[in-house]
Amino acid sequence: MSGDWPPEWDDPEEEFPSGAEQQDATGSAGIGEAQLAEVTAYLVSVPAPVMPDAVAARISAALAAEAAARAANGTQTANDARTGDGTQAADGTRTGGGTGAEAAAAKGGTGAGATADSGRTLGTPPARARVRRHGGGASGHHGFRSIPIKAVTSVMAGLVVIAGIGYGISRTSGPAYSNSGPAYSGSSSAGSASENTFAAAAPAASSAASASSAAGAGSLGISPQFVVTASGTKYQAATLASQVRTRLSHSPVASNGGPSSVPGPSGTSSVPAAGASKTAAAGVAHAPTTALRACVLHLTGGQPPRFVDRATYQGDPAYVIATSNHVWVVGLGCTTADEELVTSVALGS
Amino acid sequence: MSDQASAEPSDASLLRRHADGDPEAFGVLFKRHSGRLWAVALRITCDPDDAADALQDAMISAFRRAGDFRGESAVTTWLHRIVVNASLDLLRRRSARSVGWSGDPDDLPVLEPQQGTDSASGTESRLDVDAALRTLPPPQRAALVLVDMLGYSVADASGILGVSEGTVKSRCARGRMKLLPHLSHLRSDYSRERNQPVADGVSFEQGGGA
Repeated sequence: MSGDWPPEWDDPEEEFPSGAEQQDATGSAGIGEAQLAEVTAYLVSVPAPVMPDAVAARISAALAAEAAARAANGTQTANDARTGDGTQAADGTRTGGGTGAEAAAAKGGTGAGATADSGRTLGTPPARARVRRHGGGASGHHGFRSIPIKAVTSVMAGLVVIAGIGYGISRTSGPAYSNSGPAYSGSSSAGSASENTFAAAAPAASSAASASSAAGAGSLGISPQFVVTASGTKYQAATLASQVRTRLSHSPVASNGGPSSVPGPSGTSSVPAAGASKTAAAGVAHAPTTALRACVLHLTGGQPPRFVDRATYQGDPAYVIATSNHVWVVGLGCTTADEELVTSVALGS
Repeated sequence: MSDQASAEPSDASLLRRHADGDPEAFGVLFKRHSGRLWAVALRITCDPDDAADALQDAMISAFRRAGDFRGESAVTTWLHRIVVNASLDLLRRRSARSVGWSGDPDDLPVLEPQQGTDSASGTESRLDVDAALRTLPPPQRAALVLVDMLGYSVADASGILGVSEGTVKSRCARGRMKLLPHLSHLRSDYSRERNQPVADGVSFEQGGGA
């Protein structure tokens, strides 16, 4: 253990080959054995320091984090917690690892009490749940900020649950639109900022992953009224009505009059007929953004569309919105205030 | 060194249970010895923050390496060795980043004690002891702390430090000689208060009589 000291740690006179030489050394220094014994006696009399509670708590937390990590033993959850990866919530809300870490750090800092900033860091520590010191208090005591993985995981899990519940509540108790009028307000809390991705009207191309995702959405009470497909159809002005009719003919109307591609509460979906056109065979559907949802319902007067297809019209990206008797083509920036209406065609009977 | 009552599981048993997956065992072991381990880390690093870092590093290391413990020494010796190594490693890293001591013991600065950094050092004498200890090269300090301040035998300290007993004795003796001028005024006070020169059960032979 002494072979790799920094040079300044080596005492050239450290090793005494024999007791006689040591006696000589002390004697030549004019130091008696009794005096050295008094030093020993005095050192013995110094009471042992007491470990501060903050330190004990900090180390206990680090050990608890180690135990949790060991218990997880390489599961994905543990890996996410260690790497600080966020968790993709079912509603699309991403809870960042940083948020959890900050919360955990704040918790650790609180436990340490008021601190003075030492501002020092160490080299590579062995501890996975590294605890850092920080301060800012006035007491002069040094404090500690811990980032226990267990706490991070707990916070992240809590955020995911809260976000999911909030989204579910907003969707189930929110102002659902009806056929009788444009009662839809377009407000949504948790899901407002994201275009949720999940498997919906997945025909033959539906994957198991998307199906499970849709089931997860259903389990959270998410029941979108329509979805946006991306068929890749190249709609043309001359053939718009016929293209839409063709697609509608292969998309049976749901029992509630809504679009055929709406997944049910359980996550099941109405699958278009096998003979659906290639362009309509969008394997993955997206829940609309709040803005798009409001725009669509604004155009349809609150009636759920038969489909909303993100495609091209005359070569330009556009949404094609179809009810049973009408079709609208709008720009991708469609909102209630500005539909960016490109064209509108009555389908007739 | 173990203080546990007979009804409580032994250190070795706790360590074995930890290695077998018991999530609580290591925490019990840590709590059992945390006081002495803290004292070792604090006395060697002479800084409560460094001590906390070193002790945490050491405990995490022990947590992970418990399966490697072969029972060739007492669990406490093993734990103390890890703490000492972690403390010295921390000082070594710090030394490598800072302008170090010239190498001449006479050039060692008497470092100012850090006011209020040690919640347990409330008296002037305690601070003086801390300051005096900081003048010692860390290896000497470690030996002196283990033998003189924590009461380990030279043999135990030898096991903890991983050096020969002779080296422990010489480090202790050298350390005492260096501390003598720094602690002379405290020794006088101590002798007057106690009216006896040496504490019972402690002799020079314990740590320095090579």
